[in-house]
Amino acid sequence: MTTDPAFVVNPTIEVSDASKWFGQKVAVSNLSCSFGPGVTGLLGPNGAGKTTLLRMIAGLSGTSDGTVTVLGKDPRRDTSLFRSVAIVPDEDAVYEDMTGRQFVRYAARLANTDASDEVVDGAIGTVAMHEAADRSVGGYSKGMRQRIKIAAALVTDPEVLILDEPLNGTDPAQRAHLISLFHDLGNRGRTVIVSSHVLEEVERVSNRVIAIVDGRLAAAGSVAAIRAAMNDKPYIVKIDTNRPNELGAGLFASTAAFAVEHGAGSLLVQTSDIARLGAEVPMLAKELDARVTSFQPQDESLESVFRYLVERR
Amino acid sequence: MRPFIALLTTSFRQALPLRRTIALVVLQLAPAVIYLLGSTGRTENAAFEVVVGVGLGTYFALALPVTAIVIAAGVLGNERRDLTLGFITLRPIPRVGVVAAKLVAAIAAAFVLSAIGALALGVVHAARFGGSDVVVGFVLGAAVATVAYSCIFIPLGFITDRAVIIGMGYLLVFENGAVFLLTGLSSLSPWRLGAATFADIVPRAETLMSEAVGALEQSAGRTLFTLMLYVAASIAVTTNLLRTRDLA
Repeated sequence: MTTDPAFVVNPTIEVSDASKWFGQKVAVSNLSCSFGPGVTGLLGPNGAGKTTLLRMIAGLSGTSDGTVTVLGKDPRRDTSLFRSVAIVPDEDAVYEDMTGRQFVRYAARLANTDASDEVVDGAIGTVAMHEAADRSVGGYSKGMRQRIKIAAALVTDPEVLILDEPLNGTDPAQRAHLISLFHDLGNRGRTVIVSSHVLEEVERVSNRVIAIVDGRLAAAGSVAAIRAAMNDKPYIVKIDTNRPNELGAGLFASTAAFAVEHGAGSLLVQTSDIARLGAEVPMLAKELDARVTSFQPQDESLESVFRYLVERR
Repeated sequence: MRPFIALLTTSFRQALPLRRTIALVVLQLAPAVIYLLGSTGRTENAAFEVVVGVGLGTYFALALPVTAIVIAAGVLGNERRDLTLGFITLRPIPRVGVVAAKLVAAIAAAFVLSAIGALALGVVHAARFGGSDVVVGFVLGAAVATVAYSCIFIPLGFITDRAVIIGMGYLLVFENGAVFLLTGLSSLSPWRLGAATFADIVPRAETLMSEAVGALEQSAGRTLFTLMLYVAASIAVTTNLLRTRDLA
């Protein structure tokens, strides 16, 4: 029984001290985690190493150090593994001269699985692409390309499905449909990994999240736990006001801020609870008859939040 | 076997997109046109000298290798460039099967086009002066040279985007330079393998050809052995590249 949230009890994919570097650049550093049946979100800002990790899991890239196994096998060496594993890459890895239907059928034939009309149509229907199935993939939008790639992955009925930013380019309705599809696959015992750089997106897809930044494990576990960890992070907020001295003193006294710097017509406030600060500022401003023209977190990017999590870990 | 056939047939079709095919067919027909222009009004012997000269200097030296290089360099190179290599390698097909299917597809596609040039040149001559051996010689010579060129340029196309440019440099430096200086290399030259096969079928061409490029002493058995070496080396090298390199 494992207690580390980066690991699951019955893993289908195990990443052990995996590193990957390209010359001087370290893309993944000493990363250990595992994935099992159900949907797992792989979260991280752009350039965090998510794609490199997924490519190592899929066997497209080798590890520079450490090991990756999928269903107990080395994905770089054992191609028989790909009867049970499918990957949907982020890039437009499609044959532009094929129709959607030909593309999906080609995937089934290469995998030596049933490529009958019934099975191919079933996979295309799963992603709601029937109407465009006989059009050339070259004319597809980004969202349609994403969906036909997912159909090409699903046509082989894989045990492990790896999706790199699958919701990119999809509209809200398509997004909802795909998220429901991922849940359904997870509920049927498939191992589904969905990568994204958007926390809210991952939150909708999965309860379990592996967050990485700068190629390192930043956090793992439930979305709620990661959100709670994020709440501990000190934020710097710039507040523009006509009464900076009074507002600063009021915020400091209220304990919503633990440090306040005064500037000309503005304040730089440090807080560990940005939500509480956001609630306190308008109330204090009303009380002091101050006018607040701007409330701007200075470092609220996902990168900065994740970096904080990495440093804390 | 079904994945292999699916990969082979799709790769064959992808190797012959319409615009490129038209351009290469025009290139393939050029030697026949040059022969017609150069042999009009000549005697049979003089016309034979022209067909051998054009066959050696234009068809085997230019039209055929350019066709084979463009097609062979693209069968894996285009998949890498278009980021679809993962689509075919992340399938339950051994890497050696992927490479073999791509090699067969490249050879078949290049030969379909090269055979058009060989037939055009041979048939135009045979229609005027008879002698089906010239047609057979060009077609078999084309088959041999196409196999050898494809074997060289499949791994090169996988390694670099500049395989076609390197191929042109190869034709200039190796086929037209190094082989003349180092005669020991001639048994490995695809150009000479093709020419020697032609000369085996059309013995009266051997003297003319030898005067131009030196002795062509390939027996059929030796040619076959050399081709087998080419195929084995190409599959081994390319398979190893697919296994060890990060794939786009």
